[in-house]
Order: sequence, then structure tokens, then C-alpha cells
Amino acid sequence: MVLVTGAVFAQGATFTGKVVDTQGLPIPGATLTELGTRNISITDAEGKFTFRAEKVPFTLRVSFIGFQTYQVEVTVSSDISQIILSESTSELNEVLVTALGIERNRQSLTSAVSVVDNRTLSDVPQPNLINALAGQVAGVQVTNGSSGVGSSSRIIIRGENSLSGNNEALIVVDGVPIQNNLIASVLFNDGANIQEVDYGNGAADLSPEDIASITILKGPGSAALYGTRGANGVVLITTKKGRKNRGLGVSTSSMVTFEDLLTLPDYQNEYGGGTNGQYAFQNGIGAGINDGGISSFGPRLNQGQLIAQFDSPSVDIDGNPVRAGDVLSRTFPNGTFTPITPTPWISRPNNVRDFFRTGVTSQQAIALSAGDEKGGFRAGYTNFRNQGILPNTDLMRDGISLSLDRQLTDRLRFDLFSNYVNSRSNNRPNLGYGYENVMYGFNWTGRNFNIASLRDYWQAGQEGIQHYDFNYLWTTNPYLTLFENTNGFDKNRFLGNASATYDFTDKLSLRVRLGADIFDDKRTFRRAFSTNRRVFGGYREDQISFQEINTDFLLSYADRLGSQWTYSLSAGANRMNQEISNAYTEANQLALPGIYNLENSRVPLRGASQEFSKRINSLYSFGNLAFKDQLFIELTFRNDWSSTLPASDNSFAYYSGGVNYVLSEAIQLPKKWSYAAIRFNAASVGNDTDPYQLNNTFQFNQNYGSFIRVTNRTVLNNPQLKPERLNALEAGLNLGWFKNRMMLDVSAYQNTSINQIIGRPISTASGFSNRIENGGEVRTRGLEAAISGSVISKKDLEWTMGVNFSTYRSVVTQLPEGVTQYVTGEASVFAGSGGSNTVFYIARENGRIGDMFGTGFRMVEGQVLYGSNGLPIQDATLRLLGNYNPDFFLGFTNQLSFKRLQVGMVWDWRQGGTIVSRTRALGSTSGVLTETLEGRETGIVGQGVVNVGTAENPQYAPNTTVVSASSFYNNFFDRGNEASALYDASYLKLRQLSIYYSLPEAWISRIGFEQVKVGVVGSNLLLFTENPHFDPELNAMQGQRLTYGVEDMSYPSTRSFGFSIKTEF
Amino acid sequence: MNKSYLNRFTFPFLLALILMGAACTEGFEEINENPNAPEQIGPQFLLSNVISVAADRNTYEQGFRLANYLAQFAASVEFERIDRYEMGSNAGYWNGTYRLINDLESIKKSPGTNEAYQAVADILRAYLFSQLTDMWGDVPYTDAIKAGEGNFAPAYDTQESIYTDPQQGILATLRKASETLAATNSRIQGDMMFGNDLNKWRRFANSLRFRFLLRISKRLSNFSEMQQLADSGDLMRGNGDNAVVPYLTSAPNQWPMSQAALGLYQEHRMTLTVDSVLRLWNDPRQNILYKPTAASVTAGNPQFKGLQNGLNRETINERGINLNDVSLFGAIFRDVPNGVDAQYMLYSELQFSLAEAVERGLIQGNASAYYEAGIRAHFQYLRAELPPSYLSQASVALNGDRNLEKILTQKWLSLINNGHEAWFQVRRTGIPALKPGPDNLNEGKYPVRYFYPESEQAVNRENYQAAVTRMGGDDINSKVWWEK
Repeated sequence: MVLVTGAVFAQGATFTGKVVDTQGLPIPGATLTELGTRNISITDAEGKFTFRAEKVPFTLRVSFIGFQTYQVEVTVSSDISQIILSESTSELNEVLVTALGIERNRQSLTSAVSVVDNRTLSDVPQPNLINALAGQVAGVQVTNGSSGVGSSSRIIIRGENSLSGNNEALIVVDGVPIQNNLIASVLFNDGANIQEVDYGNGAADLSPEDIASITILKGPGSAALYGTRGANGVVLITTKKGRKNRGLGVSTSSMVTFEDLLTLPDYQNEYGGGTNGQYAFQNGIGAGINDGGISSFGPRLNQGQLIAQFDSPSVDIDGNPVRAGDVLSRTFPNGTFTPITPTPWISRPNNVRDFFRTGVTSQQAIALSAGDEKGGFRAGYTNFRNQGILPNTDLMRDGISLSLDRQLTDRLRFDLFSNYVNSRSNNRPNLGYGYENVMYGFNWTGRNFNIASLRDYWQAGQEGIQHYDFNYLWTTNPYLTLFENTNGFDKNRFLGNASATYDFTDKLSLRVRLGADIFDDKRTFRRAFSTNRRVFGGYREDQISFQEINTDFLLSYADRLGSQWTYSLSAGANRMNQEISNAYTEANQLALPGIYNLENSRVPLRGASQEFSKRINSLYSFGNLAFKDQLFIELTFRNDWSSTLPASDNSFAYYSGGVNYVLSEAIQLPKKWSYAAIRFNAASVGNDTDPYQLNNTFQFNQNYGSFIRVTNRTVLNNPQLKPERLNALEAGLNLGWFKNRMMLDVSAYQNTSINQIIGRPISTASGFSNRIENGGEVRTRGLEAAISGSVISKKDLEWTMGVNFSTYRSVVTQLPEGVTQYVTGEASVFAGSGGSNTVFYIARENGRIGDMFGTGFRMVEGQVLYGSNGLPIQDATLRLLGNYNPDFFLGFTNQLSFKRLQVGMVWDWRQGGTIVSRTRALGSTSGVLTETLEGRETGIVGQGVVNVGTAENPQYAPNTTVVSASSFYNNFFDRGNEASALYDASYLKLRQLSIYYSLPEAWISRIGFEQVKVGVVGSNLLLFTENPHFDPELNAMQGQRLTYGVEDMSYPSTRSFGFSIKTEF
Repeated sequence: MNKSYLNRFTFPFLLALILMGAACTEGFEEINENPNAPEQIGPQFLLSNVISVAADRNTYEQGFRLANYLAQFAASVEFERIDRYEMGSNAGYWNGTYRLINDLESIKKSPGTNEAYQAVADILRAYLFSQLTDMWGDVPYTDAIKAGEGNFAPAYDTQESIYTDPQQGILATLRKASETLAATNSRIQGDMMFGNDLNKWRRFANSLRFRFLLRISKRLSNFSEMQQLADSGDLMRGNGDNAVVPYLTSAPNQWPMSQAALGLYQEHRMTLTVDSVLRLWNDPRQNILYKPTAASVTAGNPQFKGLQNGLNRETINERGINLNDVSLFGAIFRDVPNGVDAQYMLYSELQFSLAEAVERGLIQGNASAYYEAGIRAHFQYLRAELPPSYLSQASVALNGDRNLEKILTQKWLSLINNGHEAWFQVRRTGIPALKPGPDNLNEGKYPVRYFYPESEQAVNRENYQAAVTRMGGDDINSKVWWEK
């Protein structure tokens, strides 16, 4: 095209043109800059610009967030009538939002920063925003919660620096931190109370549709400015702004996905419920043949037998037809029963699978946006509905967001983002070890039992009073659990921020900002009459409130030194106030069945309430210095004062310094090399702790009658706490080839954590079980690499591919004084009689963080020692079970565009790590898992040795004693014995797949649309892993915490598949 | 325009932030003051906690759920593997007991403490430490409960010194506490067991001392202290002196088994051992402690029947045992929330102990009188009527034929549900002679201790290992000092 777009003036020129994306769609709001000057212009709603330059030739830079920055030498005759920006993922020149919301050119950053492709966020919108980050970024590890949609996902960046458990990255929205931790209800899984419930992490409240971009600051270097909570890395979320448009822009996104089971324990289907090959139902408490038992070592299936079962036909004492399990109606006053008509004893391989239903998730979003040269406005509404794969579980979310930005005067700018979210559920499933978790119950359900026939879950004539079941000693009908024993919640959250920026001069500006995150969460727990652990049911209400207010200001000055150097200096302050309270009230038994309120209590109500307050004041400053586009230097300084530390030690400073040197600007690189830069960064950051860790207090116990009871806490506080310190070093290398079509980004880092504040387990014989203290020294070394490339880049076909790799290893380099091994925590799930079931996390000097210890069998020369009874001998000595940390992670991303078709794909591979499985232990003990088939008919001779000599003079010979399968599995997989229930936690997953098609403009413009994209999307489509029973990725939750390396009767994970339509008009 | 915006928005913000900067840590200590719990507390609240919690644990978790199997008052149907001698570590009791001892230390340090509180706390402390050493052997004692002083990994003391150290031992502590209570004018509150009656506390202390002297009697050569106690008139005087805390009718102070899953209740069956003993004595206490079998009730002919201990579910099935025809525990253990007491010690136990001491020739006295007083007291305690001919039956009367066995078997029965007391007795005396069940997991041996908690291996490794070496292994078959 030959066009003269520049009108030549004396020495200047005016150019007009249009900025568009690769599909030719206009990009409004793109910035055009004449390099080296303050001459700036912004495209209008149609992407059009008029740019006037004083002198020609000059360098024009065109940038827009999410797109690769475009730079061109403009001469009088240049054609810049159409500037095409290509969407960028990890390109060098893009403008990134970095700490404190400051936009920076990527090249000027001196520590590792990654940007998540915003297409990934919206192409396959995840119910939990955190999940969208899985597999995308080197060094970022995401794990899903185990109770499906709505459960907590964790995000860990560069491994675990902290031993105290909270390693999660800080989530920041438009520069203001938001609450992301799971705030758990105080529940005790002691066999008689309510089991754990996962109500989700805070960031899940955000709608992916409101998000413009996500930047991840990985190391403490880049996070230094976020203060104490930034030490584990920061996820910076930038919300969408209104943009210039013709009139009102409307965009919609509509997606429906269907979830089904990705995993399910591999159950055996050859033997039914019962013991010793025998079973017959009578009353489910022992009057029949083994009908008080709940294991699956019963009669062989499909042998043509007829056996009385709980759902076999029977009659009540008046002769009306009932089910055999309607025991109360079948019992004569003298204690005898009406007869049962036996039914076929056949296998039902899908009895558990069929218990689940297809989950349906609908995510609908609509956004209005408008804007002009002086600012924009955007309002969005998101509607999220999920029906879980477990019957009667759900999650609903409605969010309204409002964004406003306005250049009020030449010098004053105002920005606002606010988001109101209501999320609620009628029922979230219980987790953990016990009957409130239906997966636990299925281990104790005869493999052949028809679970579907439990659906009508009240006994005849006993509605609301007595449930119907196959066993009345232990179990609770799983439908009763899910339909009556609900755990609901209703959470209202407001989060937002408002800032005003005033430019005193072109060089000096001030921004003041107020951020708030406030929510109330009411949780209600119902328990019906005849629930086995709560014969009289129960009702409990929890009220959780959270409030965090951040106030800050930032004064910035930018100027140049001579013609080659530019610099900026900023200083600011922040105050954070946080108030958390939680309270519960409980009617531990109900007076009347079916009425769930606090008045309907048979017993005095019990309850507790707690409040926590915390304040952090901070001052900070930072500076950047740049020499051309060649050398960039950053320095930051921050000081925090935290209310949680002793007065003498509550001030702690952070420093960081870094340099990025762009070699390719300084020296001539070999031909195909287009870019090379090296960077170094060093940082030292501090950290505080939770409130009230200094002075000891007593705690209230429940009263005995009218006697008030008070006891010591089990945790010993420490008035001499010092702030934690984390010293970080990082070196990185960025290389580009073929005009940056291929890019490599490598970082190596070392984090040394000193004076960590942990609740170290101590001998309970000292009076306390844990002591709050500054711990030893932990050193983490890691390596990350990301390679991305445009494999094909043609007009109609574009294929970009990325591989990211990360590995790290943490070791204890110094133990606390006088300690030879460092117990950093424990995970305990079973405390009945017999062996305890506890995994200890123990770090020995130079030992690895994440080493798990537990008990196993007594070993003789590598062989299991058996007793004369043919059973393996347990040994209470702790031994190393494995390490829960992976050896490495690898993510693989693909984006393919062919004409109007776009395909995206993410794979996620985790290699290594050990997981202790409760499902394996319990399901083998009970005989439901497929590995318990071996030896059912013949008995089992355990592999190992027996002592055929004396105790003093042992002689070992191979074990030859045959024992029955059930005896063997009961002992071999005894729950006190962790060593026999280990799996490798490696997996490979197809995380995301999306295929979108943009309808031709010709079709859609007729009906008034600008853009319509339709697609099919899927998540978690494939899983490859060693163990056949569960997804090794899922988090377990014990007490109020998520735990590591332990699988605790996890729910199946899901695969989702669905359809999406996105429009703009 | 320009200026007004500046004033309206920026200036107030700026001012606030400057003020903030000027006061970086103002109010911090107030913010970090825990509003949820007190830093100081009167001793009565801690005392209420220790008395009721220790009694409850001893009776339910320890007595009903564990020791009743070891002492063969209960036999398990399937899941309670302690019946097959998978002992485990009983770590919850170790942890909970040391925590209560910590509460006792806090009573002593409380601003409202006095001589009487100190003495009562010492009595409870002696009792709790005896529980620890009798279950595990060597345990942290002199070094224990010193986390506040910086000792987080206490050394273990030998059982011998825990009992007999002339200054700090359990026996010396109890003697001193008793003397203090006899002399003091101080008073206590918060005691739901004895209604703050210090005389009862003194008699409890002396009775406990007698219990412990008898427990270590194999290792004693001088029994004058037992004689003095027997003669002092300062021991428990009747069921009114029983060291028990009643369960209440409403949560959370109910007898836990009254609320537990039906399966857990049905795991606890009458044993063949109890069945044969009660049958031999024609003992009406059977009707209170157990229920006739469901099958026999249905058939209109109520009968009691016991189950052999230590059977696994398969063996039960192979032997054709109908579980519907095996007795369950009595109504007081299930059907009412306050049918039993949480116990430390009953008067009847003391009487049987005195009888035993006389019978063994450790002290002078009338064994029969003590023995019969013990039986009468236990019947009265259970609200069972003593049949007129009961005491004169050959199987009961101390007629010179196996007197010691009769005394100790009656004593054993009176210890049902009282923590591990009956197990301690069986370990010490071998009476009654209990046989490990056929499917036991301890190579046919009767276990004599629990494993140390696994956490001690993790957090107190050196001291744990020293103790284990001294005791000849962390083994459920390693005998403790008083048993050797």
C-alpha cells in the first residue's frame, strides 16, 4: 500500500492511523509514545490515533497491556496507518503491572516475573481462579481441594519457605491485598462431632471475567514491597477497566460445563458384604448372619445364590410390604422379626459410581463498558451456579463489579474498583476420616449392596426419626448424610479499592489509596435424628467475619540524567488493619426432629467466640535507574512495624537490589540471536506472625454443670519472638532467537529462611505440646526454566508453544539450639484403640523438608518379620516413609490459531513425592479394594521371615503359615501402620483444552454483534498416575489445616467438559 | 476545579497518613492483647477442670474403652483391637495427663492459691503420675512440666524413684499433702467431688497412699507405713468418701457411651471370664453390670452369656457364635446419661486392699472383716441387694481355701470401669488368671505396658532412648519395676 500519511510541517509531522490486533479488531486505549520524550497519544474507541511529532525521524513505541509492544523508526514516508499488535504471553517488551500496581516495562525488571495469559483465564474459566494458574508458570504449584467445585485450592510459589504451614502466595487486586486463606470452622473430628468442611479459599470469590491480567512475582526480590505477606510470592491481579468505545460496549461470556468422575477407587466385584464368606440380613445389628459387620469378605457373587439383604422384600408386622431394612416395622413386641424374601446375590460394579451424578457448572457473565478520552466505566455481573457431583451439594455465586477511572483534571486522576460477591451453598460435603464423608462410608459398604436403594432414606413410618440402612451399628445412610446432614454457608463479601493520583508536575506525582476487604460468612450445620454419631441430631451456627483495611500513599518522582540515563524514585507508607472474629453456637442434641434452630435443643447450648486483631504500619521507598535500554538497576527499602511482635522487636526492614543487563543492546550477538539479558537480584525480607503469640493465656473448657472449667492451652507462647527473615538470591538469564520468536527464561534461586516462627512440637511431658519459637535455618534452592516459541507464524496459522520446568529442594541447614531433630508438624487421622495413625514431618540436620516418618513392620535383613501366627509384626519405631515434595514440575502449554479457530491446551506433570493413603489402608482392611482379591479362596502366605530360633538366639526362616485373606489384609494394612499404604504421587494431567471459533463478522454484524466466539472447553480431561484409587493432587484437610503428603478418604476428582459462547456488541 | 479536588480528596488522606507515620507503633500492645482468654485465673477454675476431666478420662476412655478389655470385663466383636493386644501407645492419655498436671502447676502458681489448694493439687498430681508410670514405666517426672522454664525435652525418671524418692516421690508427696491438710485453715472451692471437704481429701490421699504401697509391695521390705495407715482411722470411711465425680444428665457432662454409635456399644460384650466368676458366686451384680442376651430375652428366658476375649470376627463366625446370644453391658452403661460415676477410687477397693495386705501378712488385722466390708460396700455402691447367703457361700467366704484369690477376684470385679486399676492388679498378682484370647497379636503373652507415644521418639529422642535402654526395650512385654 502506498500512502502518505504524514503531513510534513516545518520540522515535525502528524500521522494518523489505527492500532489493531492480529485479527484486525481495533485496540482502543493503546499508548503511542515518542521514545525519549513525553510525547504521548492514546488510541480512541475505534483504535484510531493522531500522532504529532516535533522532529522526524523518531522512534515510536506502541504498547497495550496484554500485547507485545511494537517499536518502529518513523520517517516522513513511513506507513503507520495500520499498526498490528500481537497478543503476548511472555514477551519482553510488554508493560507489566508490578508491585504496588506500578506499570513497568518487562525489560527493566531484575527478578523473575511471569504473566499469565489472560486468554487462559477466560477461555476455560475455572470455578476457582487459582486453578487457572495450574501448569502455566514455572515455579508455581497449584493443588486442588478434594471436595470438588468450591473447595480450596492452594498456590505455592517456589516451594515452601515456611515450616509453619502458611506458604501461600499473597493475592493482590489492583495493588491491594485480599484475603485468600481458608478460614476453617473450629470443628473436631473426634468420632462424635462434625467432620471437617472445606468452604473454599478467598480468591475463589473473584470472577475470571473481571480480570484483565495476572502477574506473578515469584521471589522475595520482587515481592519486597509487599512486606511481610509477600515473602511467599505475590499474585497480582489487575481488574478490567472501562475502555473507549462507541457508546456502550457489551460483552458476554456464557459457559456450561459438565463434571464427571476422573478417578474412583478400584473396587473388587467378586465378593459381597459379610465375613468369612457368610452373610444374611436380619436387623443390621447382628441378628442375621454377620449383618452387624460391615466388611466385604462375604459370599462370592454371581453364584446364583439368594440371600436376604437390606433391600430384599419383607412385610411389616401387619403384613404390609416393606423393605427388610425397615427393621422397626418388622419387629414384633417379643423381639422376633417378620420373614425376608432373599434376593439374588449379584455384583453391582457401579454401585458407588452411580451414587454420583453429573455435576453442572454454569458461569454467565455480562459486562457493560464505556469510556472516552478521560476515562472509563465498567460494570460486570457474574452468575455462577454449580450442582456438585455429590447429590445435594452445590455452590452459588453472584458477583457485581464496578470499575471507574477518570482523569478529573489535567493533574488529578481517580480510580475505583469495587466488587460485591455473595456466595452460598445449601450443602458442602464433609471431609476427613469418618462416616460424615461418604467416601469413608463406601469402604464399609458391602461391595454388592445396591446403594441406590438407600435413596429413600427413612424407615417405613419413621420419617424424620430413624434412617434406613444396611447396618445400624456404625453406618449412616449416605443419602441421609447428604440430604439431611447439611453444611451450608452464606457469605457476603465486599472488596474494593479507590485511589486518587495527583501530578504536581510532570515529574512528581502522589497517589493515595484505600483498599478494603470485608466479609461475613454464616455457616449452618444440621444433623438429623438417627445419625449414628448424633442419635438426637444437632444444629450449629458459625459466624465468621473478616475485615482488612489498607491505607497507603505513594509519592513518585521520575526524571532523566543527561540523555542516556533515566531514573525514578518513590516513597510511600501503608497501614493495614485486620480484624477477624469467629463464633459458634451449637445445640448438641435436638428436642424435636427436623427443626433446625437453636431453640430446639434438648441440652444446654454450647459455643465459643474469638476475635483477632492485627495492625502493620509500613514505610517504603524504591528507586529505578536505567541506562538506555541496556542496564536497569532497582533498589527497594521497606520497614514494617507489626503489632504481633514484642515491642522491643516489632520493627523489621526489607531490602532488595537488582540489576538487569541487556547484553544484546551492548554487544553484537551471533546471527540468529536476537536478545540476551542477565539479571541478579538479592533481597532480605522480614515476616511477623499471627496475633496473640506472645503471652500465655488460659482457655475455657465446657462447664461441668455450674462449675466453670479453665485449662492451659497446649501451645506455649513466647514473649521473646523475633521477626522472621528470609534472604533471597536470584540469578536469571533471558535469551531470544529468531527475532524473539523463541524465548528462554531461566532463573536459579536460593532462599534462606532464618528465625522462622513455628509452633514447634515439643514433648507433651513438658506441659505443652507445641512452643511458638524462632526456628532454625532452612535453605531452599531451586531452578526454573520456561521456553516459549512461536512454532509457526503465518497469516492464517499461528502456533505458540511453551514449556515450563521447576524444581526445588529445601534442607534444614541449622537446627534450633539443643535440638537434634526438628519436628515441624504432624498429621494424625485415627485415634481409636490400637495403633495410632500419625505421620510426623521431621527434619534432621541437612535433612530435607517434607520428610515424613511413621511406623511399619519389624524388618530383618530387609524382610518383613512375621509372627508364628502368620501375621506381620508391627513395630512402633518411626522410620522414613518418604518425602512429600516432588522432584520437579513440568507444564506444557499450546496455543494454536488457524484462521478463525483457536485451540489452547495445558498439560501438567508432577514427578516424585510420596503420599500416605488412608483409602488404601482402610479399603484393604475392609475388603472393598481390588487388591484384596488375592488369596480369598486359598489364604495367604505373607512374604517374609519368621523366627524359628529363640528370642535370645534368633534364627530366621521364610514364613510358611497360611492365614485367611481377611486376617492378612486386616493386619497388613492396619491403620496404625503407615508404611504399607504409600504411593508415588507423580501424575501427568491434561489440565485444559479449549477450542474456539470466531464467527465471521459478515454473519454477526447483521445481528449487531462485533464479535462472537463459540467454543468447547474441558478441564482435567486425562490423568496418568501410579495409584488406581485417587487423584494424588488433592489436598487433605485435618482439623483447621490443609495437610501435605496424606490422602484422607478423598473424594473423586472430576473431569469437566462443556461449551462456551463469548460475545461483544 | 483543580484545587478543589486537591483539597477534597488528597489533602485529608495525606494528613491522615502523615499522622499515621508519626505513630508507627502506637497502640500495638493493646491490639495484641488477647481478648479471648485470661492470662491469670483463680485456682478453683483449674481445679474444677482437673478433677472432672481426669475422672472422666480414667473412667470412659481408659476404663471402658481400653482397660475393660485388658482386664476381661469386656470382649470385642471386631474392631477394638486392644482386645487382641494391639496395644498402641495410648498417646492421648499421656498427652492429656501431662496437660492436666500442667493445670495443677498453674493452681500452685495462681495468685489465689493457698496451702489447701497446693495440697489438693499435690494429691491429684501424685495420682496422675502414678497413672503414667503404671502404664508406661519410666516417665518424665522431676523434669516434667518445665516448658515454662525452657525444658522442652524432659528426661525420664525411673519408676522406683517416682514412687519412693523421699523428697519428691509420689508417696512422700501424698504424706506431706495429708499432713498439710490436717493442719491448714485454708479453704478451697471448685471441688465437685468432695464438696470442698478437706477431710475427705485427706482420707483420699491416705487411701491412695495405701493403694500405691500395696502396688509396690513386692519391692518393699518394711510395711510399717501401711500398718500406720490402717491403724490411723484416717482412710476412706465408707461410700460417702468415694472419690467419684457423677456424670450429669446433659451434655457435655454425660457418660459418653450413652451417646455413642450403637456399634461402639455393641463392641463391648460380657466376657466368659466375668460370666464364669459371677456364675460361681450367684452374683446379682450381674443384672446391673450386664444385660441378658437379646436372643434369650426374645425366647422369654433371659440368660447371661459371655464371649471369649481376643477373637477376631472370622473366628466368631467359624465357631458359629450367635452375637445376638451374647450379653451386652448393663443399662447403667448405655441407656441413661448418668448411670455411672467417673471414678478415682472406691471405698470398696481400699477394703479389699486392706484384706489383701492382711492376708499376705504385710499388716496385722482382720482380713475377713475388711473383705466383707468391701463386698458390702460394692453391692451398696451398685444399688444391688446382697443376698443373705452370699457371704457364706464356699465360693465367696474366706474359709482358708484360696483366700487371696477370693479377695483379689472380688477386688478385681469392684474395679470394673475404674481406669486400668484392674489391669494393674492382674499384672501385679496374676489374679484372676487371665488367658490371652486365641487371635491375640502378642504371641500369646499378656501385655504389661503401652508403647511410649510415637511423638516422644520424634520430639524427645535422646531421653526416650535412654529410658527404653534402661527398661529393656519399648515393648508391651517389658515389665515395670513394681511388677518384676
